[in-house]
Parts: sequence; C-alpha cells; structure tokens
Amino acid sequence: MNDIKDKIQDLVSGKLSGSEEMEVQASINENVELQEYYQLLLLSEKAIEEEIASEHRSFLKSKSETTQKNQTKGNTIIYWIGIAASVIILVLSISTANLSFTDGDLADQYTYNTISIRSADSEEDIIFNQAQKAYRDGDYEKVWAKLNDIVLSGSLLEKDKEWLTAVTYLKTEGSESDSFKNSVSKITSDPQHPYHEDALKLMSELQSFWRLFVVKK
Amino acid sequence: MKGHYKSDKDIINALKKGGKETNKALAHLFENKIIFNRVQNYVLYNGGGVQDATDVYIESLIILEKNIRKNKFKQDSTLMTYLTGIAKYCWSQMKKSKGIPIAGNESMALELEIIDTPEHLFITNELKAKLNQALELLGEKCKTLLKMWSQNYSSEEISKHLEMPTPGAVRKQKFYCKERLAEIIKSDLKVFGVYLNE
Repeated sequence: MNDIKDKIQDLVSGKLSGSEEMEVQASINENVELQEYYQLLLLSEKAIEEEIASEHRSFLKSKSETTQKNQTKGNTIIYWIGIAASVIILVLSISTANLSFTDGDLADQYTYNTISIRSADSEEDIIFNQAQKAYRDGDYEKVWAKLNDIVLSGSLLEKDKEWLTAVTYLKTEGSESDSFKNSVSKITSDPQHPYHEDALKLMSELQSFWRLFVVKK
Repeated sequence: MKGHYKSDKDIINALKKGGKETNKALAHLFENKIIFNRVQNYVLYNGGGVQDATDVYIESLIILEKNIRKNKFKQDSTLMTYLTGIAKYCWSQMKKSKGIPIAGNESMALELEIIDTPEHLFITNELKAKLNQALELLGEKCKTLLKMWSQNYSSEEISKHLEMPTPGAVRKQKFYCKERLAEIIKSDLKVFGVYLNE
C-alpha cells in the first residue's frame, strides 16, 4: 500500500512520466481509499505550494520596494539638484545685474571704456581731458563747466563732448531724465556719429530684461 | 529575455534548481523592463493602476516559477510570451476578486491567450489561512523538507540542510511528512471537507 501511496505523492508533485501517470491514475480510479488519499494530497500540495509562493512573494516585494526606493531617491536627488541649480543661476543673475546694471554703473562703464584721453594738441583737448578727469573724480559740476568751455563744432571733439554729456546726464540724473533721453537720442538717431553703436548698446542694456526686474538707479 | 542568461533555457534551468538560483532568475525576470512595461500597459489599459501592474507581475512570476518547476511549461512559445499570457490571466482573476467587470473583447482575448496558460495558484484567503495552520501543526523540519522536495532540491542537499544521517533517509522522511500532512487535513474534515474534490 505504501508503494502506491508513494507514487500518488509523486503524481501530485508532478514528478512522474506520462506513462507512469496513467498507471497510477488507473489505480486511483479503482480504489475509493486511494481516491480520498489523492484528494487529501492535492490539498497538501496546495499548502506546500502556497508556502513556496509566499516566500517568492516576499522576495519579489522586497525587490520591488528596493527598486521604488532607488527610483524615489534618484528622483529626489535630481529634484534637489534642479532646485540648487536654479537658485545658483538666479543668485548669479541677480548679483550680476545688481553689480553692473545701475544707471551710474553703466555710465561709468561707458565713460571709461569708450572715451579715450585726447592727445592735448589743442586747448580744447586739454579742457576735454580735464572734464574726463573731473568725471572720474566725481566732480560733476566741474564736468559741466569744462564741457561748456568747449566751443568747437563739427569736429571729432564735439562728438566726444556729446557722448560725455549723455553719460554724465545718465550718471547724475538717471536714465529716465529728459536731459539724458534728449542727449542720447541725438546720438542714436545719427548713424554717422562715432558713438552711435555705443549709444545703441547702452540703450539696449538700459532696457534689458534683468533691469526691468531688479533695476537700481 | 536574455541579459545575464544566454537564453530562455538558462532561465528555465535556473528556475528549476531552486534556492538562490531560482531567486536570481526571478530577480532577473522582475527587472526585465520590456516585459514589465508590456504587462503594465496591459493592466493600465484594462482598468488597473500602477500598483496593480506590479502585483500582477509578481503573481505571474510566482506562477511561472511553479509551472516551470512542475514541467507544465511545454516551451511551445518564448518565456516572454508565456509570462505575458500568465499576466493577462492573473489580471482577469484579480479583477474578478476586486469586482471590476471584464470587458467582452478582453475575455475573448484571454480565451485565446489561455490555451497554453497554466493552472493557477488563486485560492481563497480563508483556505490559505487553514492550510498554513495545517503546515504549522506539521512542524518546522517536515515543512522545510516538503518545501525543499517540491523545489527539486537533491536528497544530498536536503539531508545536509536538515542534518539527516543519509540522503537515503530523505525519501522515507518525505513520505512520512506527506502522510502526516494528509492526516492533519483529514482530521479536520469539517474545515477542509468543503475544499476536497474542488
């Protein structure tokens, strides 16, 4: 009896070949006691299989959780890197804008970078150099006084005078003042003016995106 | 479905070995994005969520492992096709248990897919709990032996793991343990009677 029971156990576990299966199945069909044993073994097999499935389920769920954790960790890192990068860009942009984009800063920048010291060939050249020096010293009343002393017209010096006048207005009265607007428009509207390109560039910087945000005059 | 394994056959062999090899193969399949995405798309398209898709995939892998171990996978199709078929079947079972209606075209597609699909593991939670109780009554040593036996561990491996005197004693002990488990179930026919002949 134990022999056939052993074979039924193998049948239920799926460990028999096709011909053996048929043989054992025939024995079961002929014997009520074996039929009951077979049914009990089917339930036993379910119990064992459920135990195995439960182990696999735990293993795969832990795998799934690890994957999700890693994904979340990765996403969080990317999220914070994005935030940090945005903050850095914002701070750099604002600080750059604050450092160089005020009216006074732009006026200084354009005065120092575009107007050169004249060769002092004439009295007017000397006066113009004195006006420039007064600008550097921050003595703007002296700048106006020296510029008024220059009376030559149609010369390059006159163009220098117009440009220095415009940037001095920018420095002293700001970009919204009529004095600055009038003086600079005279240059921007004249394509032949030697400071035409500089004036256009200055106006473009005055109207830049960042100035609209963080303008400091 | 290759990756670390050269072919489906390598995966099948690993799944049949049991223990660490089975876990490695299961992990390999679990991390297969192509097939997981295919299953996920199917579940999402048929009324499920992302978590449902993961649950379906896990249950499908469990069934796949069992069917391979029990030689029910005849290798008429690729492992990927077979696993996808199981997953579709799993989702239909889960939908039933959740009370989600199955669309006409979906069940028709399932019937076609199911031709080669497997006997499944879906049993009620009530029966699961009762079977678990029966296994607890069996004792740890018998339980481990039967699990290892079902997972195709060799007699040498089982005897070593359970510190049994000889590999030859394993088969005798297995017979005894199965007899005992059948007895435990029989002794509680009030509980299990309803599940016999199912």
